[in-house]
Amino acid sequence: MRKTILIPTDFTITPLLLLKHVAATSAVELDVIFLYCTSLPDSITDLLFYSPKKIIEAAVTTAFSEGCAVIQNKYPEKIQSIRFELFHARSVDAFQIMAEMNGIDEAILAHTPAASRKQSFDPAPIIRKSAVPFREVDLESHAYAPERDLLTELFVSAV
Amino acid sequence: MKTQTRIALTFFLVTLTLMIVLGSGVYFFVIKYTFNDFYKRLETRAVLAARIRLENEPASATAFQEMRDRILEKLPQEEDYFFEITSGKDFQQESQSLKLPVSFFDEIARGKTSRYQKGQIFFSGILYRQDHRSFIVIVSAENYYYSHHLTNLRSIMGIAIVVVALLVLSVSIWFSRYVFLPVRQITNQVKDINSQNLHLRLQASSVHDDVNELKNTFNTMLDRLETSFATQNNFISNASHELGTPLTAIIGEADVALAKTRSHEEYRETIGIILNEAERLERITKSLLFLAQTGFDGKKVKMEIVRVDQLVWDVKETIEKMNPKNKVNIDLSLMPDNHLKLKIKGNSQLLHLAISNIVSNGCKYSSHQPVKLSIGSTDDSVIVVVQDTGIGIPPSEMAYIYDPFYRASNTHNFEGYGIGLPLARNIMRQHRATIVVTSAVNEGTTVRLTFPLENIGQH
Repeated sequence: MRKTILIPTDFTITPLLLLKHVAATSAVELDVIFLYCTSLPDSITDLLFYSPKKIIEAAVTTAFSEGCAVIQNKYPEKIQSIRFELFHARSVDAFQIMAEMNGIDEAILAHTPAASRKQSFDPAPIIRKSAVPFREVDLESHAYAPERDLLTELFVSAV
Repeated sequence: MKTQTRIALTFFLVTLTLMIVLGSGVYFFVIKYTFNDFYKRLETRAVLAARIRLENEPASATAFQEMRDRILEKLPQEEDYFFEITSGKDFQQESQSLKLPVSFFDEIARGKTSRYQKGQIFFSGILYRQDHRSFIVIVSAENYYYSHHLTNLRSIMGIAIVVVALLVLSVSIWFSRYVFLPVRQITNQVKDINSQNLHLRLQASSVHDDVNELKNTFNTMLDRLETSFATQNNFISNASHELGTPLTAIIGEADVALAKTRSHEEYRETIGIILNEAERLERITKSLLFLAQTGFDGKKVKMEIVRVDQLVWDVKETIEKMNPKNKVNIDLSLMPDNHLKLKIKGNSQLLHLAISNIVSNGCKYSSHQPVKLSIGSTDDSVIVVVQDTGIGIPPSEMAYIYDPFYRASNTHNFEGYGIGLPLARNIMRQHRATIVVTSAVNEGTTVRLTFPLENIGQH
């Protein structure tokens, strides 16, 4: 049996810890989708040359993808795949359509609200309102410190 | 040859070649046009001459004669020749008398117009038919345009090319000087900077261009140089101090002991102190020697395949043996099960030394609180994280932690020489590994070591 799970990501430590927690507790194989929620670009040229792939490529940091690799190496038989999806809309319907298209079985949320980044938004309220089943994980209260090293943080933070 | 001269010369030669190509092109096409034009004029004259000479009606011939005299001026050395074509004629005689090739006549006899040039004299021949008789009409004349106008054009072009060449030469010299002006300025400014005045910097403007980038690069290089000079000076003073302290203690103790006759116990005590200090001295010199050896890149270190988890367990054992109060927890929550993901290439003794230095620092500065050691691996690297809950490093002093003998301002209560971390860094460098230290004062220090994964295939 396989399950597709969705984790909203802001490329901080929180989604990595969620992934670690889910992988550690899951009994089935997982296909992981990291959902990056960001507003559509404002400028006409950006819209003209709009490419979801490029936006995601620009957003995913090396540390974050290395963190993913660490967790994937820890649970190679559990985590079958990891991919990134872009989401622009701020409506429940749009989210449900997106979830249906990607065949999402469950969304994983953190209790603590995500730290807001430029241009990105936290989809947690939308997910809570939608019909997609979701699970909230109580991570240890974790102070967001951007000057700290993300990879180091992954090892240091115990769930 | 200077680059400046080379650029000027290249620019000059390219322009000159272009000028010459252009000039010769113009000259060539003018010649072609002039020749064509002149031959056509000769053909017209040949038709006219044939009409005058061979026309049956005298009135018409006179009218043509008059027309020619009135409208057409006589060309220099203009001559008309008429030959009747009879069957079996081979034009040998004619060709010899006019010194023209036989093919010239044959071509006309076949009904084409024919052209021939002999020096400055041009020949043009046509076939003229009159009452079932055929004639070859040849007109020859000196090409005035060829002999005079083209010479003129040639000299104009020659002079123009020479003048332009001189102009281009001066422009290219000026241009190359102009281009290299900033470089010369940089050279002059850099010349002024030596070991005595390393604080001097190149003056960079706010313009964002290549030259400014070069200046900024120079400036950052000077920053590094200045720092390393300062480090070296610090190193010597620190090293003398570190080596001097135990020596002073030894000398002082010995002096006091020798001042008068002492009891057996007092001697023992003195010698014990001297031994302690001498051992400390030995430790310092040993670690210094290690530092020097690892810092020297030219020396080959024997590399073998090392399993990081094995290494970490060994380190834990060593650290806990060194001081029973030390406590090391190994966190396996992120360690991959696949042992292939844990193999790196390195010298196990050196790696052991480096990691145990970092871990023992963690134990020491946290007053023997447990130190956490975690392992994990990405697809191309193995990561070891050492976390302690010690006194931390003040942010302003983070830049100096790799300087030999440097000790942070909050370490006075702890014994140490400040060699461990520089030594670990040197070893990491030898293994193409990176070391990242993050710290918060009074919260703890975390050191992340990232080793490149050794790809040994799936066996």
